[in-house]
Amino acid sequence: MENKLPNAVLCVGMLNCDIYFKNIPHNLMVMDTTIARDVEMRVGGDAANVASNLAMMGVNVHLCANVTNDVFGDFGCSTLEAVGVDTSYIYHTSTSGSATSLFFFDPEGQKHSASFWGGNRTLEPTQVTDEMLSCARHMHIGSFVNLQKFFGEPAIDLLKRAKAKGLTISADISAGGGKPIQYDKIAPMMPYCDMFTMNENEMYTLTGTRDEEEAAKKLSVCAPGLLILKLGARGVYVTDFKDLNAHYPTLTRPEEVIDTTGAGDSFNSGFIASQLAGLSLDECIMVGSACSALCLNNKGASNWGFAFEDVLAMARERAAAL
Amino acid sequence: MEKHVEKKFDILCLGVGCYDVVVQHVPTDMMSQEYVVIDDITSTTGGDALNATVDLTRLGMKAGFLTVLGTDPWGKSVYADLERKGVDTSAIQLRDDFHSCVSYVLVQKDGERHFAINVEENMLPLYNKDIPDELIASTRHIHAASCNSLGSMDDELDVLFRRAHELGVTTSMDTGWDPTGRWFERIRETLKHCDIFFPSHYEAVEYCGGETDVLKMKEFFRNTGIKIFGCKLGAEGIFVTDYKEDIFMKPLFRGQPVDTTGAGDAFCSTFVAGIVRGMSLRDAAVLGQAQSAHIISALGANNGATDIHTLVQYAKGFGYEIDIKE
Repeated sequence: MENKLPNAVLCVGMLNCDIYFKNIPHNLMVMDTTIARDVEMRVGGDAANVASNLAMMGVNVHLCANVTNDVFGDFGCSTLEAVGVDTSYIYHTSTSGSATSLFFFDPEGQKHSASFWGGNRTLEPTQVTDEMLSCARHMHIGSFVNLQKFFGEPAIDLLKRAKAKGLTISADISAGGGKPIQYDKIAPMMPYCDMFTMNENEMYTLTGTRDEEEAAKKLSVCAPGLLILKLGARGVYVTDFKDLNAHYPTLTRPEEVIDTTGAGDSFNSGFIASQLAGLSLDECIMVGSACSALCLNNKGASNWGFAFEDVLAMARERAAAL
Repeated sequence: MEKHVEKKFDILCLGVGCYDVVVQHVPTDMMSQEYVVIDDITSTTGGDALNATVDLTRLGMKAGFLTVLGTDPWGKSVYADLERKGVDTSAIQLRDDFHSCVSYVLVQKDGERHFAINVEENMLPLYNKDIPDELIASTRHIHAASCNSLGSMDDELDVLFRRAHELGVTTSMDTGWDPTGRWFERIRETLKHCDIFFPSHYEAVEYCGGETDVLKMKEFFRNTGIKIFGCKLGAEGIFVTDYKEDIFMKPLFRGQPVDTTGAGDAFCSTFVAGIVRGMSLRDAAVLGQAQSAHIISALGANNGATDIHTLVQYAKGFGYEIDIKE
């Protein structure tokens, strides 16, 4: 794949440092001190995951996010740089703290998460400058709901500015750790998006139904260009609120699933990369699904790391086998 | 204590330095919940010996930090923080093959805290062979903070303290929980060359075989070799004796503490500094309590530490006039 512009995708949103603690006793909050020998740090956050995946697929990508000048912020930036993400649009603040999630796995393997939003709370639409937009063909906003400043006029102004510069736009929402999704907050922004994605739980939280077609009807009053509902093992549902109303099967083999973290972001990455490569909608969905399958087969949100050509080949092979 | 001789260091603090990640606030039932949102994560530095070194530097003493840090991001960050705080880092040993200690401080809403510590099995891979006589002789005093948390040095501390005494250097140590359960047997030889010994009360109970009365604890340690015995009593303050004078002293603090982490480290190191300066037992105790009060007034284990003149003024507010000597 060859990009015509030097920086084809601008990812905007959450950059997290995820810290995994293995084999933590249930009495963690009773004991004075617990020695945690098995601790691993990884980059997370929806926008960072998509940026990382795109970079590994060979797409030129910038990330716009907020971090603090601490070990976590430095780790996030250096890890992303190592896979080829351009981090020059990341803001280094001194006050808000770097977003960090602690994942405590008990001896039975159950995950108990504690998340600090840090700089993600303070990222504002105005931080996405016209200069950044001028470098991109596509803007992806991750975790729309969790970016607390991304609503109202400033957010709509950003979407308008991006459109005026000819960018296509995709956005993903997030259930926000079980918090309710505010329909009024996101509805005004959806019509500006060429692609809007959510998973089944988010769809239910937003629309009150687990029926994807019913959900699409409810969202038709604020229709984006494409609504893509990621339904896990049931595959993907896509509608353009006009002629297109299609279900696509999953390309994931159940026995390959190791870790579900980041599967939705991986879908978005594959879809965006395919669109930039000029593939058909069917192939965009197929590549997105293949990226999810690769992610599910690896630990972590963005550790699968395949070149676009390899993902495309795998997607075609799996789709043909269905 | 020895008559004052000008040396590179007044006090060389031996022990662990940590990168502290303070997580506020973590619910008590965290391990029963799938997902919680926390208010704040702040990075700072900690570790008993690091706290002591920073506290002493702020106090105005020439303090050195005898420790091992990795050259990983954590170690580099700790090192940079120490330099920012004006600490003499020349005695720190940086090693590529060592994973620096990272301490996740999980703070409940009520201030209660729990530590998840990511540390190598040998948390301080330091041996006597790594500490030349020249380094020992370059200080007036060595303060080990805290024994039982010194990794391999816990098994060699008696030798280090003996070497110090042979070189005319005085010694002190406070303590941590003994995971081996050997307690007194583990420090018996070290105490022969230890001038000041300052455990927490619950640790002293273990050392004394279950004794809870500090005056009886004092007797327990009378012939071990130490010259000053002290005991940290938590909210009740401190007890200290030089076997001529016994002092009980309440905390010099009013109000609600911001963060109690590092209060004990601050008391011990500052008290030791007072003794090294030639201050009386009482005045050194007041100085230690005043520093401890400053520590608990700020977030982090050493961020509240201040200079000796501020402490003198602070103590005055509690009715204590102290002579800081030197």
